[in-house]
Amino acid sequence: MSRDLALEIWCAVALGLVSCVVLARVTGGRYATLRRVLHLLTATRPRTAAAFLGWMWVGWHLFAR
Amino acid sequence: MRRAESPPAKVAARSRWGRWPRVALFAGGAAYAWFAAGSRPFSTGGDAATAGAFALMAVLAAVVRVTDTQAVSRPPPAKGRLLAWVVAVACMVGWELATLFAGNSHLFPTASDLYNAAASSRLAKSVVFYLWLLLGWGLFGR
Repeated sequence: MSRDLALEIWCAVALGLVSCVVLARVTGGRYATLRRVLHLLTATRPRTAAAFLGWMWVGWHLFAR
Repeated sequence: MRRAESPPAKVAARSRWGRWPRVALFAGGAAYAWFAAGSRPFSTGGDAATAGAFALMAVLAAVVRVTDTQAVSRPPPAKGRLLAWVVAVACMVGWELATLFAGNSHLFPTASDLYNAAASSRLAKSVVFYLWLLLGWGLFGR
């Protein structure tokens, strides 16, 4: 397996996420929108707290450490 | 005779913030991302810029909760199938774990390795920082 293939898989993964956004738009609500997914992730206080910790970890991992 | 339909959630969400406050908020976020992208990881500046974003997001989220008097009456986003999202996120997490445990960051770069390569450009780093801020706004500010 080559580095090129690994990078192509990353591209496919990113394309998959973008496809979810497009799919939600073109199917007129048959599939969940990004807004809906974000809403579900913060629907309760424990989920909001977990999402905030996760969001902070990503930022700290990428930009501080 | 048809009854007038209630405004969609998107319209309600937009009306919460005026146009110019929103523009100022997003432009301020972009400026902050550019400023933060000038700092280096493992430095006091990098720590401060990231911690500053935590604090700003926490304050913004608190302000939105306190000032959002329409929150109870606003309908939640329309329901839809989550299957596509679950599959896409599972693929992302699965591939990240596979590359992480492969142990060869050149042949199998993780998402962090890809970011580190891109972060040598201040513009690319500021774009990633801005996307991270937007994700935070999408999660806690709306």
